[in-house]
Amino acid sequence: MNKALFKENLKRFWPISLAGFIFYFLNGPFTLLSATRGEQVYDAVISAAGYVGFLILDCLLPVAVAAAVFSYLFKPNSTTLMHSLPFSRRLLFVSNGLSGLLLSVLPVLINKIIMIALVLGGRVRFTLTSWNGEGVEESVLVTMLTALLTHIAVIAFVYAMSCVSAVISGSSVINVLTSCGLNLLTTFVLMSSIVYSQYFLKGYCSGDETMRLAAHLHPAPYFVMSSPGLGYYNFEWPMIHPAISALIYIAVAALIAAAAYFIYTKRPNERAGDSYVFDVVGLIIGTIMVYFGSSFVGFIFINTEGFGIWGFVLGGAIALLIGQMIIKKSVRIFNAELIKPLLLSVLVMGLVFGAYSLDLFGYEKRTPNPEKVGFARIDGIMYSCSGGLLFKEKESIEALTEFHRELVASEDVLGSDQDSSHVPDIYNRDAKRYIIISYALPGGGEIKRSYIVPVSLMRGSASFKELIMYAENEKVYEQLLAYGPSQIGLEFWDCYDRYYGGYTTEEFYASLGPLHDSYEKFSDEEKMELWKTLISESGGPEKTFELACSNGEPYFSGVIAAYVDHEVASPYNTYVDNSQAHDSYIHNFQRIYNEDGKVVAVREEFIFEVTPESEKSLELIYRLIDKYSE
Amino acid sequence: MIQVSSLVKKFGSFTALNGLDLCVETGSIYGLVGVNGSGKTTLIKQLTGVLRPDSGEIKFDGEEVYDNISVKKRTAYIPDELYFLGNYNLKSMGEFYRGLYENWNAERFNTMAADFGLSKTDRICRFSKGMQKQAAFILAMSTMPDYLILDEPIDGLDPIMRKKLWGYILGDVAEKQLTVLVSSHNLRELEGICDSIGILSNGRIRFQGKLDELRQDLQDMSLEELFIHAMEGKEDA
Repeated sequence: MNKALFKENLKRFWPISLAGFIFYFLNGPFTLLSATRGEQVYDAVISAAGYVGFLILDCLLPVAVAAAVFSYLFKPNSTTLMHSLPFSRRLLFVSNGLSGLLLSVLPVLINKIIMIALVLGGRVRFTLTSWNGEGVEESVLVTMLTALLTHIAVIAFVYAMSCVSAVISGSSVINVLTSCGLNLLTTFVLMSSIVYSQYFLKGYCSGDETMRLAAHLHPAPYFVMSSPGLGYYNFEWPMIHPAISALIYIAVAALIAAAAYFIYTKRPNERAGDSYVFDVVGLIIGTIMVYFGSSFVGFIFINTEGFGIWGFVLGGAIALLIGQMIIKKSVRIFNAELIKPLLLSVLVMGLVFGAYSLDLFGYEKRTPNPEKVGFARIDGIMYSCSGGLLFKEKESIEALTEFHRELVASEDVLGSDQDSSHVPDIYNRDAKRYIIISYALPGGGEIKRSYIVPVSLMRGSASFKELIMYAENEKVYEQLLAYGPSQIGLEFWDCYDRYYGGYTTEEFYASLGPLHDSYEKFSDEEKMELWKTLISESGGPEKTFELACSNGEPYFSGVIAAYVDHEVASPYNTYVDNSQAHDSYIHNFQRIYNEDGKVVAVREEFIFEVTPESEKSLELIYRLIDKYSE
Repeated sequence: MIQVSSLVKKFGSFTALNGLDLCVETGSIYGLVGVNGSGKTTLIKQLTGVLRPDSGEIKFDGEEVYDNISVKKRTAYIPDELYFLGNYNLKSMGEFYRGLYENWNAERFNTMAADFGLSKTDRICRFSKGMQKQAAFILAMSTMPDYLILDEPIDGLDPIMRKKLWGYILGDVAEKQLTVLVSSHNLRELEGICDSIGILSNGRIRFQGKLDELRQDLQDMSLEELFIHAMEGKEDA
């Protein structure tokens, strides 16, 4: 590193850093000090890795700083001067790069130090939330230093991408645009691929897996979405400490910076002033513009009569021409040089359409090997509820994959995602189900598909019946009897009033509503009797299959939920970690938080449908309500 | 000594330099002349390490120039189109150069600034074109270079300043064996100060030699006449 150049950059570009410092200060220390001291909880501001107030500048400041320290690359005379001075290219890149990194990191570093001083000095009361919501508390200092590390990771990553942009760009405006584009590119590509998949691939389901992948591609969305301090769920499974994630992103940033250095050593200085200094980069970026332009216009008009595929052609053509004008810095683009980007764009768009329409990667036909599935679930089979069933046993998982294969083979009778009128909700009598099948694979992977399935197919499917009738579904109810009355709570949740049958929703709710208040007064014997009756009348798998294949027949039910709260460290906590994959119609887990946002328990819920046919249960409930409400 | 052999530089399909050979003796002044677009600036940017040759060699006293810090520290370059760091004055530019060049001579810097009558505290971007050229010259000469590469150095300078400028250069050539390569369209001026000249055309040196010997061979033809002669394809006369 050349100290003179390093110092010179700090002297020249410190105002950018100062502006950044002021922004961070207003969002950090100033926010803490300006509110009522000692009464507010500043969890997000102080400890959250994904604190948006800071993340905005984490993403913008490095772009501005990189544009400044590498600004000499964008004019022929400044390029000439800097490269004629006694520097090697390595020295130029390293000195400029490191000075820029310091200018980018310094503002957040100083502000975080101020915040740490405020908290440790007792000026600001701070209630700690652990990084994974499990109540495993770290010291305030460690938490705050972890948050600082995550901000540095975002800055380093964005800055490294901006360095790549600087060394491939030939003008300052193009550099800033490219820098923003590079940082957003992976997320945009993923988002567009979701849109293509939704349109072209039968069974495509964008779920947690897609979100997880999208978030992992850039540290900024990753830390926002994984930050418990912001109220988002942590989707990482197995969970990784934010400090480890930050270090991984910093390592990736170092690799990107190394790539930028390598490109810099090849940079043709005579191209300074052009949009891009490498023809191949111009070609690639032109093609990317065509891809997004074509996709954007194409999907806007895809359902418009008379457009169809022509929307893609129109969008691609407009993007090609505008892109080439920007890249060539001229409106005179109608010449032989246009042929190459045109052909490449046609080739790429052809590959995109070919890959999706022909399902080149076998997405539609893919079903997992049951041996390699940790657990699986099927959602949307119930008419009355959007919940589903969870399977952990090998036989159940085999039956599910068999049913899945049956759905894949029955492609012709499945509904289309595009026809939303066929998607039934809980108030829709349409005899189709919006079914989601998901498999959790070892190592955190997931296969997830969604289908619109005619109930007639489900009713006639041997594999579906086999799936529902497995003993695994019975065991769930049996667990409840293992708990004592003092451990179990009860709530009347909701009422599904389909087609009356002599009752109205209001009447049914009014009749069962007092159940929750009365329940606490029940004796232990009465509680146990109620459980046994509910379980005996729940119908088990037979009832589940009947409801799943009800074809919209009228029925009437309420839902009673029994719950047991477990200590945080219970094995059930691991179920909750994998997002909502364990949420089940009849068996559900959720975390219980206290007022400070700390997890205090894991609640295990058992849900019973109570219909007019549940005569014994209803008789008992009404009798007990009458007894204790007097 | 500056030795260039078989130098090739292409810009896309255009060949700017096509197997160029050139030699500048230590302690001499070499005048590089050529028509517009002949490749003078391209050659100079390669001599100063700004551009990388596609093939061929450029050696200063046997050392490659490209990415060679030790050679660059002994080389000063004044380009045709000048550039100074944003909002800097002569003093701050001098401080920047002092950190880069080990042989930086602060005394010469101060003396030359006074001699040329330039303010060290006014922003250089507010200087006239001629004053900026003087500033670049002061900075270049204060690095105490062994090699001086000048691209149209007297463009925009008045006769008095030109005389001063050449005075400093000739002084260093005589005293410390400064090796100078100067590109200019002002052939009369070059004729008065150059030891050797090279005429560049279509990416090659078409004519190269010591000015005194050339004059004898060509019956005291002026440099301007010699240039026109060479450009008309009569170099074999």
